[in-house]
Amino acid sequence: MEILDPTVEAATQPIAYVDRPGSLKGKRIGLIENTKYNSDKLLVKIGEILKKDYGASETRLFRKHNASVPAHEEIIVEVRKTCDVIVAGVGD
Amino acid sequence: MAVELTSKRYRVEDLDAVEFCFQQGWTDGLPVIPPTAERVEAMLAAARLDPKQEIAFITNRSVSITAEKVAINAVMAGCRPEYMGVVIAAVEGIGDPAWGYHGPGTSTGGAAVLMIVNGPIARQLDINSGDNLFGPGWRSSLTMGRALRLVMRNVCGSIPGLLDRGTLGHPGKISYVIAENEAESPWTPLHVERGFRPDQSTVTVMAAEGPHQFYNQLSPDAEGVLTTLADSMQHSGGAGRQPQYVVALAGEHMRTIAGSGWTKKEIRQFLFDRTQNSIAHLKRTHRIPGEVQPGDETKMRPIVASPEDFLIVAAGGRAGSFSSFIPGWGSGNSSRATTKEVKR
Amino acid sequence: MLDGIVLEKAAVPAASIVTDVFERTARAMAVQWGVPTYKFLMMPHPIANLTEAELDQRAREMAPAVVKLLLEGQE
Repeated sequence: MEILDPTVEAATQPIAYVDRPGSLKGKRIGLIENTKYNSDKLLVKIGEILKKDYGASETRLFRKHNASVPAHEEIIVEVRKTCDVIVAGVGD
Repeated sequence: MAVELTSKRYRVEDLDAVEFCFQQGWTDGLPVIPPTAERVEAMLAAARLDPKQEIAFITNRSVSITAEKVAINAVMAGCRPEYMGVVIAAVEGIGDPAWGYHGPGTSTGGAAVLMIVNGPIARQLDINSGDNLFGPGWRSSLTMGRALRLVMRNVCGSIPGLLDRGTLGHPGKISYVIAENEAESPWTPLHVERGFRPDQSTVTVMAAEGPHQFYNQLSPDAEGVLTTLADSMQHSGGAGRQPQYVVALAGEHMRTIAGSGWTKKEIRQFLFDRTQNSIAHLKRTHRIPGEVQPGDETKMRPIVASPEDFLIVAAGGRAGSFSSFIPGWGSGNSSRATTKEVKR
Repeated sequence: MLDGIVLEKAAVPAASIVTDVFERTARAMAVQWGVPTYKFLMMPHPIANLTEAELDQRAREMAPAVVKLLLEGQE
């Protein structure tokens, strides 16, 4: 007999990655926490080190209301306006 | 209608087909019905659906669920063609942003998808609303829930260990389908409460833990039965993390509560008031962080945000002093029950 | 994990961190989103029950890798 495939294969969707900065000096760091306990604290601590030891100018924490919703629905516009790079986590 | 199925095809020996499906990783651990084109076409025809029609788009998985894929998985689950409409409505339900696929579909919380069917279709398809409510025996109940889970596995990638990280899961993740016992219930059916007409058929899906049974044989009135229920519910789930609960009241309890003249509204309010915990208790039992502060003993936290977050259904056997509560998937407001009409 | 991918699609350099028990899940998400070789960082699981001092320590351990990923990128 001939049987049909019940699955869907994920298509490759390559991303055209934007250029990386040469260093973090003077850069604004966005921290996107994923609502899991201690994620925010840990990201903020990493952010502090990026300022102190790597010259980042400022950090900003973004909280998602809902871990199920991708960041883009809530904060992407804000992130693009106010941050140069982001650190996201901590998936758990 | 000329049906054009576009899914990849595999040629297998008839006797090997069941084993082949196992080897491909397409099953939930149980044997499936090999999905031939004929069977898939019959499924689509019963629901009058074009195979290319998108039933839901799961944003978080970046995947489109087509009627063809639902039909293939429904055949595999053992559904009859007339069940397809219910399965479609369930897929629409989990595709709703309010259901928030990623959380319940992936989380270590291990939620299943509780499907509650209302309206005439429940009787037409013989979906169980009585004895052994959550147990075996009813083809419609078991295969429709199974079809939904196979779609989640095969189309949305919710595979244990990969994109399904339920620490424990529970047997409802194989199938978890009930109907409300509208014929014998004295109360407004769930779907009517949620804005549908009595003659419409609907599926309500909620990300859910397993059913918790409670027992009360002694009480002759609503307050008595519901006091026991509240006592059991109070410390369940995350004691305040669940966005919603389902309460399934079976025959004896249903009649006792109705005998006191209580409606679902009174039931909800009573449970909301009686299931609250003090902040002090939640801290002492490590449900929430922090040291007990002055005032914490009298600051109360309900287990849900409002009485409306208890979904009450009349369901379960006529005999036996047992009913059930089902905590929703516990992560604040990340997933809420959705109700979709069975259109076909 | 998904946030990192989504932000990269929106032209913002990102570094995603997951805890190690979720490595396969993170990889499966990357595959699902069409970027099967997406690089992300891992740290030991869990973090929910770490003390303040342990969180400080963890941040110190992770920071160099975060910087490296932000400056080197995915290619």
